[in-house]
Amino acid sequence: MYYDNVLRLCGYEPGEIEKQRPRLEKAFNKLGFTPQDFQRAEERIREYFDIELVGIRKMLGLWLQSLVDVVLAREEGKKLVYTMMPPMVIVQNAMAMVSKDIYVTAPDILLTYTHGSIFGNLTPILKAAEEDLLPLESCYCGGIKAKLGAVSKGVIPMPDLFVASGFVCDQTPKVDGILNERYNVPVVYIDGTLDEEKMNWEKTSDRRVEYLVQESKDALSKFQEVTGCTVTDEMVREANSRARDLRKRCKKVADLIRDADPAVIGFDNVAALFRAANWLVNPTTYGKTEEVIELCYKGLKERADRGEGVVAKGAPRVAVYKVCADPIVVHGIEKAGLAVIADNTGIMAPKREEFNSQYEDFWHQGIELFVRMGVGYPSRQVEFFKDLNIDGVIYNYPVGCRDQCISPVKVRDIITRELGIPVLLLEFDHVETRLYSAEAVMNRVEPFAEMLKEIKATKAE
Amino acid sequence: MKTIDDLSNYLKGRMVEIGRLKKEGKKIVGYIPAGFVPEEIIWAGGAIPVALNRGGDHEAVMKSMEFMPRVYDTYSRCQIGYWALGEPLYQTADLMVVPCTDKNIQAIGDCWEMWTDTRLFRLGVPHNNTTEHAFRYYLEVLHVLKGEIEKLTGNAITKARLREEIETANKMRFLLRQISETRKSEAVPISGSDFVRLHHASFLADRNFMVSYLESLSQGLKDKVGNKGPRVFLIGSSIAEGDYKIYDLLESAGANVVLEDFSEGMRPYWQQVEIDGDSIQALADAYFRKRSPLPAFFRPSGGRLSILLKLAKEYKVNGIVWYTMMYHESHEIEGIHFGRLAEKEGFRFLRLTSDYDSAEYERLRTRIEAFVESI
Repeated sequence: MYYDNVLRLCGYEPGEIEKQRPRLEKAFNKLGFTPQDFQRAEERIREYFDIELVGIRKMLGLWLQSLVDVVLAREEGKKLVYTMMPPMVIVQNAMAMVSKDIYVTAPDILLTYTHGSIFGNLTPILKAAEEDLLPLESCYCGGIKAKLGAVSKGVIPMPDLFVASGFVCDQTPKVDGILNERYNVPVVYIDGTLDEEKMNWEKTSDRRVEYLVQESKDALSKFQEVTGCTVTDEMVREANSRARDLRKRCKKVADLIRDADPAVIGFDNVAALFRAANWLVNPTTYGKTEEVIELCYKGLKERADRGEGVVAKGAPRVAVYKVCADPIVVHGIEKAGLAVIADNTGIMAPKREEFNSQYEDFWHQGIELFVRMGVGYPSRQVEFFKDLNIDGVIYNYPVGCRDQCISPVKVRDIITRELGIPVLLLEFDHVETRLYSAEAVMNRVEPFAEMLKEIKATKAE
Repeated sequence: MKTIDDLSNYLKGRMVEIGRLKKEGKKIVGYIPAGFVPEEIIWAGGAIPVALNRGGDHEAVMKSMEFMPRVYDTYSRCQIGYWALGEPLYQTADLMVVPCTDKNIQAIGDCWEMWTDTRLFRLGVPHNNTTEHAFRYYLEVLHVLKGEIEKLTGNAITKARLREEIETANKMRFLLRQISETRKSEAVPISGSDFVRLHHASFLADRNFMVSYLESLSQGLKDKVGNKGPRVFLIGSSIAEGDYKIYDLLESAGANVVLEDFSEGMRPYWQQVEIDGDSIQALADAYFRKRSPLPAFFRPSGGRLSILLKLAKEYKVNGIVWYTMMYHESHEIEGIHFGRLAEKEGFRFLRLTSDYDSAEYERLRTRIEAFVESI
């Protein structure tokens, strides 16, 4: 069939394709995918993803399978719950693991990787959201636009429950509230308070944590009311122990990439892998995600042992802030001769993994995660960059996310002062490719790359 | 009757007076007037509250870009811009209180923390007022604020002092409400632009002066012959001191702004604070739990929108103008949604966005004139 090549590139075995064909066809029909879509997907996968590695192929397969699972969830008798990036991880994981009859996903990140990265046809979905509530000129979060557009157009089914990440975002709760009024789909807001001290990111008040814990518990109660399934404390622990295990596996990959010279893989692949591990947490991916990470590690280790890489040995090493839907930018950075060795998925990794209580767990995986990730955390970013032994930072902050773009000027200020390395600030977006010009970005990246090479060569002399 | 000019004359000397009081050892507490920082606590502690609420000036917006990206709302960027431009009012605070209501106002606090040496107090505001834990949170935050003010001034905030300040603030709220409600009449005795200037003046003026001024004004309005004309309800994210073009354009097109609802830049005047009982609890009750209408960042917002429609009917408005600062996402999204609801209810609706840029003036004028003509 016209889609078989793409499936093979996404790591599906021939037998698996045959076995899955009725489901896949049904889902692709519902999605309105045409042969042209698959042709475009094939070209994009070949151009942007490291399909030489079986782990990367299978990672793409995880994203595709998750899309199929979501599209068919309702007609396969499952309750469907939509969270939103960034979700309250500890809650999302617990909801996801409670029953095979419930499917929990953050559709924004899913659509970003499937319709965005793989198929390159996210724009019509985004446009639907723009015509409705989220005009392009207002620079809204592309993820929220993807979700709104997709549910409004029927690309993905209407869920049984929306879980709005109010603790970190103003746009999601507003849109979910309106969807609730329109379609009568229940919504639960996981609220937080915004009074954290940005420059003192590791500390918070007990009242902030207690507030978030209570909100999370209320969200779980609402989830129970809607789905009829009870989430016990034990389930919360178990779900998060898996999440922790996946993060540890990812850390092994991240360490390998950090230590390799030449850089062993294009960072788009790595970001897609880490995000799959973090966010595709349903029972349908149990075991598969773990296998995918291990396969990637094995393939990369072999490459590193052979001394092979995707850029020249000794190339300047950079961290970028954000890698997501549009591979063209990070590819461009690598084509310009820079080794990208980390992005903010690394910043997201907790400083420690073992906690003494569920309360601590909430703090570290709830509030602290987002303080680290982007709620305004210059000191944490500098700390992270310091450990990477990098020659420069390309700080491409996503303008659609008000949460993540408060501190770029300060980050540049501190990095330049404390680490003495150049920082290129770029206005960017991780989902909405029309919010920036890739050519204009490259016009700034290329001279920056040349400057880093010059600095590195001078130091070597 | 006292006039707006009398008020302007008083305000001209107020900044100098504040400077003098600061030199004499009084502490100045700057805050963002988003309606969640009870001035009563600051006055009761012997400090002087000064709201930072300037706007309407593109130079300040441009200046802010040295410190923050462009995608925060114009009002918030402007507050940072004025600080960066060295505006005296923005340099005077010994303590800055930022109510963290939404990502935009939070950004003011972030920038204050990242770029200035002034002590910052982030006042956390939960986004719903229906749960017990949300109320408890806000209540606790007010207690912490009280402690901060006591630490700053070295004065204990006694029950008696707090109660006294609540009584004064209640008088001010009562008078503002009384003055506002004169606009329910067919002939409106006070313009919307004058009414909002009263709020802005009250952010800087001494509260006793302000109460006495409002009493005189309120008396005088009873005999004043008002203006008739198309009646407009102005709703928006922020109305800054200096950003009066929306009022000027509506009024010069012949409309009367008979009611307004802004998240920042107006003093909440609908609810009185209970005098009896625990004063901090009473403040939390009025400023948070009983707040109505709620600002746009509260969730869900269906109740708020119903109240706004109810008010539009009560004030017999002919049209609703939704005035949002650029990139203020909660308000922009809600404005699109509310416009559809309002039109279904038979109201003419106009949604406008501003970045305080003079280049937008003619565009706004054309749209406003056409709108007023249509109603």
